[in-house]
Order: sequence, then structure tokens, then C-alpha cells
Amino acid sequence: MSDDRIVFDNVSKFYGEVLGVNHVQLSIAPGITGLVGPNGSGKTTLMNLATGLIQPTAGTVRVLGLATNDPERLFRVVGYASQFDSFPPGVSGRQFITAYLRVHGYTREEAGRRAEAAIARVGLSDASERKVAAYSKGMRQRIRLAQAIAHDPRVLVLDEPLNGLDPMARAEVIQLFQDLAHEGRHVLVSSHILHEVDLISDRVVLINNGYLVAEGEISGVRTEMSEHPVQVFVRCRDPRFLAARLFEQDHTVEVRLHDDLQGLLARTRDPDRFHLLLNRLSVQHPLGIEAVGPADDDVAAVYDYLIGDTGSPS
Amino acid sequence: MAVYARTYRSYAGPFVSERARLFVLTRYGLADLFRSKAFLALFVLCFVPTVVAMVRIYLAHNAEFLDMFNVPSQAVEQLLAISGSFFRGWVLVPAAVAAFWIALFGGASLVSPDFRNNAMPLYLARPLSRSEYLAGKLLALLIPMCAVTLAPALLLFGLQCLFAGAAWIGDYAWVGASLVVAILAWNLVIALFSLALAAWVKWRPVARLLMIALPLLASAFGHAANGIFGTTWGLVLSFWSILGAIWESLLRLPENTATLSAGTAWVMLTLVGLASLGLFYRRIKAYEVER
Repeated sequence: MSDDRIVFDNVSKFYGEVLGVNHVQLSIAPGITGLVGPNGSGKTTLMNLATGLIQPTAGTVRVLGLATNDPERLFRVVGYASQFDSFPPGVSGRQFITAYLRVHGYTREEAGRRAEAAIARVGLSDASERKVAAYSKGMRQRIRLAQAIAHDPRVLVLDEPLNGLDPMARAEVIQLFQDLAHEGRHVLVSSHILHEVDLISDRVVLINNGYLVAEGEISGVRTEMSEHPVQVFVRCRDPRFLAARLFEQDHTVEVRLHDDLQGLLARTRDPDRFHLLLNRLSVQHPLGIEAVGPADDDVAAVYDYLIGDTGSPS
Repeated sequence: MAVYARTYRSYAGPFVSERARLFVLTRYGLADLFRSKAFLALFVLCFVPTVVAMVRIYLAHNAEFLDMFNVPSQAVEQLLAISGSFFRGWVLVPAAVAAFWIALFGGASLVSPDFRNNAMPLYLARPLSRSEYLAGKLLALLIPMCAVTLAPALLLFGLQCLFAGAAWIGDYAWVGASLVVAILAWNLVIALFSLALAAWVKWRPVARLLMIALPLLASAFGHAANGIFGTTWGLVLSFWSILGAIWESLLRLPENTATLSAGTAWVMLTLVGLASLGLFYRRIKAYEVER
């Protein structure tokens, strides 16, 4: 089982006296995993540990069963895109990809073929012969992504891959991530755009001050946070009546009517009793309920609850 | 929880050998260097002393050629005699200067952009070790350096052998080996020195400026120390004195200019090389800690 996972076993990393991450215990399955945390929280350290670019001070990291201090085998299965604009001067997009594939050990012909395929996959075929220096920020982001996927890795570690992309390119890249994940690959993505992490990730890893704060599917994480009342929105024709009934319940913390008086937002400590009440009321009274749904089981809400104002996400 | 089936197949074809991969860095490094017209001009310029030295060797062995121009060939023959001093002045000195200039321009161009742009994670996220990165970049610098130093030195030595004949070769074959040792040692040390500086300074013009300034400052400090303390130990800080002592020893010249012993000079050159190697290697890492 662990041969198909990225496993951090009680991993700590210290840079001298500076804490990178501490006691991280993680087992990441295939699919898209969002890595979220404020500046300096340890996201890049976690990514560097997963790619073997740094070795843990304590604990072990294994990627698909491979030790991270074995670059010859590890980088056959791992692709990495850093957040930096690190392009050699004067090279075209195709040369950039081909050069790194040659370092991987591919023959000239194979490297050329793979470069072409990777460039096509990120939608840069038309610009492949142009100098990278003349690329827009979004194109640079995509060519970085192309170099990460060009050797067809099973694990992709992508540091802020959505930065600088326009909405169209962003949608295409997110689709690419989803395609890669559906092929059974691991896609580990750090992003500061929380709603996008929410949109694309199968699960998230929240990290703060070098410690793992939460990990798992967002709805599952949210459910486990019992100390934070759950927010539920209800669209209905008679929100005033519903609000009055809800205020009678001891589990209700807050009820706010929508400005258009066509719904309300309730915070409750007991979602089960809340939904039971809602069912009973809808039978007894013509509430005209159109929609009911959770309002805070997204990454942004979980981030806000668990990490709060300790720093802006990055 | 989504269920993902593994629907792709990994590459199962051949790879080039592990050792060959560092040459990719060398090849791209060389292409980078020679893309610059200024570097190309410098590279060509470095061969000028060799051409002059070739003419000198020819004239030294064909002085009668000068009779056509009413130049007294006998006097010229004595003047142009090929000796140890010739190999020091016409082969080793130009080679050392050429190597310095190539290292000055090449070293910074090869590694500064990598460090300035945080490219190390990109390099090291490959089946490529820190040592292989170092070796790849070092080779990219040593190849043009050897092309303008070692190749001309061997050419001049070969030309001298050709004109001087078997007897001379029998007596002086060791000169060839001495030239190779002297040139390779200097090339290696100055290449490592320039790469280490470029890796730490990151900004090309500053790295180049420091590469000129540091040896000059060290030499000035050494000479000042000599003056103040009435010693000659300050010469260990002067590249030129170190090289002079090594060359005189290797070419078996009378020790009339060098005041450092050859042993001390070799120790100093080795220390500079090792320190540069250590500094450069230390810089090759995928991350930086902000404190």
C-alpha cells in the first residue's frame, strides 16, 4: 500500500536552529493534494523533503516506497516545478525542456519527442521556439509545468503552479492537474488561492509554524472541528419563521437573514439536530425550501478556523 | 474519495549512462559561453601570443632566413635561443594570463545566473548530484581554458621538438611534462576560484570585479606585511609569486626571482584550490534558509 503513497514518518527538519517542519506524519494517496499554510509555515520544506532536495533531520520520507536520498531512482518518478523563474539565458521553451530531459538521461530523439508532447500538453506549442525570456508570466508558469511533467513522473510536486495564470490558462492547467490525477498520479500542489485549492484538491494538508494542523478531505476535516459551529445556508420563502424557530434551539449560535429575505445563514453546534429540525419544520410549515448546504466546509473556512490570523496564506 | 486507476505507462526505454549526464551541463555551458561575441573575441585573442611564439621558434631555428633582410643572423640566433626562460616567458606567462581572463569572463557567466535565479532546485530535482553539477560546470570552463593554454603550449613544445631534433628531445622531454603540470594546476585553481566567487556573489559584474580585486588586495597586503615585518612570507598571498616559484621549480630555472620555496608555493596553490572547491560545493544546494 505504501508503495503507492508519499509517506512522511514522524519527519522533522531543522535548518540549524530554524524549524522547518516538526513531527510530520502523513500518508498521501494518488490524486490532487493541496498544501496550504501561511508564509514560512513549512510548505516548501515539505515539498523539498518529498523531492529529496533536502533530507530530514529526523524521521523518514518515502515516495512510492523509494528513499528520497536515491536521486537516480527517485527522479524517475518525481517531477518538480519550483516557484522561481529559473531559466537559462537565451533558450527557447523547447530547448529548456529538452536540456533538462537530457540531464535525465534521455537520448536526443526521445528528449525531443517528450519535450514536444509536454509543451503541447500545457498548450504552448505555438510559442515553443520563442525565447523563454520573451514569455509572459503565465507562459513561464506553463513551461515550468511542462518541464515537470516531461519525463512522465508518477508524482508531481508543484510550488504555486497557478500564480500568474489568466483565468483561461488557469482553467486549462487545473484541467491538466485533474487529468494527471485521473491517470493515477500524485499531484501535490501548494497555492495561496484557497478557493482554487478547494476546487481542485481531493484533500488538503494544512500546515502552520512547521506543524501539521490538519489533513484529509476538506469535509472530513471540517466535521472533526466540533469546537467550531457549522454554518449552513438555507434558501427559502419564509426565512423569518425559520429564524424564529431556530433561535428556540440551544444548539443555534447565530442566524442571519439574507439581504433579499429569501434565505438565511445559520450557525449551529449540532448539525444533526439542525437538519432534523429543518425536516420537521418543512413538513409542518410551507417554508418553500429551495436549497440547503454547508457554508463553511471549504478550505478558506477551515484555514480561517485552524490558522486564523497567524499569517496570510502563501 | 475519488478512485484513481493507474492508466499510464512509464518510460521503459534506454537511458544514457549516469556519468554522461554531467556532460549535458558542460555542453550547454559551452554553448552559453560561445554565444557571447565578447567571449569569442577574447578566446581568439588568447591565441595571439602563441602565433608570435611560433614565429620566434621558427626564427630561432631558421636564423638564415633573416639574412634576406640584412639582419645579422648570428646575433639574432643567440637572442632567440630557446631556453627555460623562453617557456616561462612565452608559454607559461601568456597561458596564465589567458586562463585568468577566460576564468574571469566564463566563470561568472556559467554559474551566476543559476544562483541568482534560484535554479539549483531545478538542477537537483534530476538524477544529478551536487558533485556532477560542479564537475559539469567546471569542465565547461576548463575546456576553453585548456584550449587557449594547454593546446598552444603543447603545440609550441612540439614545434620546438620538430626543429631541435632528437638530441634536444632526449635532453628536454621533461619540459613538456612540466608545462602540462604547471598549466593544468593553474587552470584548475583559477577556474575553481572564479566559480566559487560567482556562486557566492551571484551578480556577474561584481563577481568579476572581485576576481580582479581580491588577488590584487591580497598581494598588496602581503607586500605591506613584508615591508612592516621584514619578512618574505607575505609573498604567499601573491598569485604571481606563487606561480613564479612553481614555474622556476618545474622548469629547473635558477631561483633568482622567486623568494618562495616551491613547496610553499604548491601548498598555497593547493589551499586556494581546496578552499574554492569547498566554497563552491557548499553553495550547491537546493534551498536557502532565511534567518
